Amino acid sequence: MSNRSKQSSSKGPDKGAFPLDHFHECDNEAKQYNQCIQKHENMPKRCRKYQVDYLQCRMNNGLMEKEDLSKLGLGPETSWETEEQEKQFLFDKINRMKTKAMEEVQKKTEQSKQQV
Amino acid sequence: MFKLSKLFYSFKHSSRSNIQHNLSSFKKKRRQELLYNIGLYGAAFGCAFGAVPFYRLWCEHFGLEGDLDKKDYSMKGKKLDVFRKYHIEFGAETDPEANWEFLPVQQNVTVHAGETALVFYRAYNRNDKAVVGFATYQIFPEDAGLYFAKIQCFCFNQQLLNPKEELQLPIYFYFEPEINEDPLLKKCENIKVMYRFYKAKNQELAQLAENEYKTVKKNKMILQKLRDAKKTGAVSEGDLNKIKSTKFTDKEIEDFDEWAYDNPLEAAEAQKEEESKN
Repeated sequence: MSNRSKQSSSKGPDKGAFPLDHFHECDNEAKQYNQCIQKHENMPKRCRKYQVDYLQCRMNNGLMEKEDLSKLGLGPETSWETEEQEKQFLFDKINRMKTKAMEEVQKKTEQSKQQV
Repeated sequence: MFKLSKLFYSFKHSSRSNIQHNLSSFKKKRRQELLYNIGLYGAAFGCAFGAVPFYRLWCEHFGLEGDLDKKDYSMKGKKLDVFRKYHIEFGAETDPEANWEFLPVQQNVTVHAGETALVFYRAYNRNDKAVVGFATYQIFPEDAGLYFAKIQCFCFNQQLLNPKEELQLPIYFYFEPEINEDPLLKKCENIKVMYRFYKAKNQELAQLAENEYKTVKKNKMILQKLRDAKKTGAVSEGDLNKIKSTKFTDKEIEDFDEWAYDNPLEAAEAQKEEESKN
């Protein structure tokens, strides 16, 4: 346990500290992001568009190092649409299995009835 | 007879030229050896330098990933469990000395491991003077803190807030996907992140900011005086230098309204409008 606590304490941020936005250049984007998150039950994945807007505003105004969005983990593979698609896919799969199972149960009951 | 001819032969060829020939061949051999040596050491040195890009190419070719300069947050090779969500609460504490307002904008957020998320804190400096602060954080449960990776935040660095300034402080973070496999965190669904804002002991930055502000004001006052002087008429060099080196008291600097005489063009236009109205 003590080993772990040593590791966990105080690792600095990867890209250093964010420079402060004293001139309020990106405040609008921040506001929009906050509003969006309130609407969507505090899930940042659903407000990816505003997140990207904010980070790009920071990059354009020299408040953040410029980097590819896909490298920052904001590509299409991790978007909310893919998650919903996966959910739908799994739901369909389960439904299919259910219907199959119901059919088999019906078959067996018919068979048992016939035997009887 | 033979021996005599041998003697005669050796006597003839053991002349100065023979010795010089031997010497020159000796020198040649040593020079060759020297060049070989230099070449060998140079090659070893060059290999040591060349190993760095070579290693990189090798790794790229065989697909071995390492911690290179630019870290990749796209989680390409890893399998993410998108449906196991963590409910993360954000809390804030301030130093009572500092007289700030420091609160999270989003009180809780739902993310899954490996997802990069942006969260804001809001800070407001109620003082009349600039203050330098320092933020640190704590995570409960502690075992989850191992997997909390920040891409960028406002912590571990002295931050200066101007008087009566309100700022949005962002945190850009993610939880590493390995958190899903930690046996101690199997039942963990709620994680709390607590930020604490301390007033930094050394307020040098604030002092610098204030001094800058004062010099800017002083320069504006001097400019105003110069413009006024030029309006009245031509001024000599001596008078200009005098005006440039006037000293103001602290009270005068504080009372000066810097927005009144900022843009002479605007003031002139405003005057013209007034005149045209009249």
